[in-house]
Amino acid sequence: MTRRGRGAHVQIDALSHRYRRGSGPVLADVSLEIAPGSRVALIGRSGCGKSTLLHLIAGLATPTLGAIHIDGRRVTGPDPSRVVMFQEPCLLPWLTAARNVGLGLSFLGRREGRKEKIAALLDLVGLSAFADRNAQDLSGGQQQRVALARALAVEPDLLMLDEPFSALDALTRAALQRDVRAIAERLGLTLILVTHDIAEAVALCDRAVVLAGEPGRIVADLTFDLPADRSPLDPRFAEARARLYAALAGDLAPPEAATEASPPTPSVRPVPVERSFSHA
Amino acid sequence: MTALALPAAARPAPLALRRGAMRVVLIAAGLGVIGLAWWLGAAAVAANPRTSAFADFAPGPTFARFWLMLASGEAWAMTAPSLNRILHGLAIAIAIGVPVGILIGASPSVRTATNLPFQILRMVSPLAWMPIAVLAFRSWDEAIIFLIAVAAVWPVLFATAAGYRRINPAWLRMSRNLGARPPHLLWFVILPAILPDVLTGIRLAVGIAWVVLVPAEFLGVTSGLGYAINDARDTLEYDRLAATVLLIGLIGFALDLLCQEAQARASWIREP
Repeated sequence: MTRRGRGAHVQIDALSHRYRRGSGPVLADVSLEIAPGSRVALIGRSGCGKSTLLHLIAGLATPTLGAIHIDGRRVTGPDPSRVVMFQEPCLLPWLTAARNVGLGLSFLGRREGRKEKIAALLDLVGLSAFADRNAQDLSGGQQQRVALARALAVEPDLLMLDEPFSALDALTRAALQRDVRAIAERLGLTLILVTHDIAEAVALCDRAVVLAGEPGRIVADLTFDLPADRSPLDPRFAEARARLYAALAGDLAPPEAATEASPPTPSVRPVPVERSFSHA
Repeated sequence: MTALALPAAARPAPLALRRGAMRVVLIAAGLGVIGLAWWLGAAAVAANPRTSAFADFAPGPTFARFWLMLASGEAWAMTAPSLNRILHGLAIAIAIGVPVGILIGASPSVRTATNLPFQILRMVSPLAWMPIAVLAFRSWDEAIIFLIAVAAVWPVLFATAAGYRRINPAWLRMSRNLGARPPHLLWFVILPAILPDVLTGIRLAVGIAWVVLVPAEFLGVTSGLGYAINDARDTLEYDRLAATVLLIGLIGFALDLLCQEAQARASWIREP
């Protein structure tokens, strides 16, 4: 836990994707740069291709056109340096919480310090008391916490969340959002969150990339400057949420308006992706 | 109201006790009925002058001979070669059935291609292979092990293939994401996931193999439980014959209990 790693630098260039030859495209001409250690939400309604984009970054699928580079290396397949937390916790039901956390370490053949590392991670996600409990005997929120610890065990530079809290109740979700944000900040991880929940995007991230249309394109790119605690009672939180809502609402307009690069609502200023990040 | 005043833990105990006692009574009754039928049958055989030569298979002489067989080590001497053959046959059946079952479970094309031939082969009595086994193998022992393996491979294979359905594709995706390579997927995900089903298959296989063993041991060999049955018939020792039958039943029962215990320990599946 002492590692204060530099997060991954993600570059996506002119990416287009279709599931198979002949089917319609799901993503068209997506270009995006994500700074090391930043926290970005990919937000949009169902079918906009946000989950597909995440799976492409994870290397679980290969883009039809264009390329994704992470820290200058082209993504060609899955790699433990970038880990996805899925909507389902996907714990192995025959293992205890601790053994589930250690799963990635087994794949990588890392044995020394394994026990201590698992204990520290369970402590980090607040599940020390549940180390020896079977995965099936944990609540939904606890299972997602184990999945988080399991993802962190392989020391990724990039943590990707694919709507991981959508099956949880509101309070459990809020607690997990707060903890994930704090942990990512502490470890210096780059975080990419896929969600359709505006409050979740604002609670976890500093930047929101809005995807819309079929095929999905980036229609807006917003940044929020909020204090770290992200209290929903803070008026700035409400303001950020309203800005993001307006950007998303552009997608509700007639199709010809929605396909324009800048949404029609005047209160929204799309942020051009112009910043460049030196990571040498 | 007085019932409520009793300590909560004190009340269920007599009920559990009564259920336990009832169980013992029922088990004793079941054994009693079959013992009585055995005794009556033997008495009828003894009473008939045409069959009285077989009267030694009655419970009395059988149990006397059974204890004698146990005490002299004869029981173990006839059982050990049989167990050895069963274990070899099962090992071969598992070594073939599990990998092929995984292949069938994982690949729809393999499943389609193998379904018809396997379904047909499965319905052939293992004993029908006996002449071929005798031709194909040099020793009688090998021929018997082959017959046991042929009998045992099907339940293992089909149970493994069915167990593959328990694997959540998301487990494989998650594991790949964490850096798993195919051998890792096999060892950490696929094998533990299908283990309960494989053990179910093995338990079925043990049952079938044990049934096939005795007729298979009628072949050339001069050891084992099947041979002991044949030998007792030839020497007209009907008490020994009945005691061997009893031994076969008891050992088969014990093997099944072992399998059941292994199943209970290895299963991760929660009953709803």
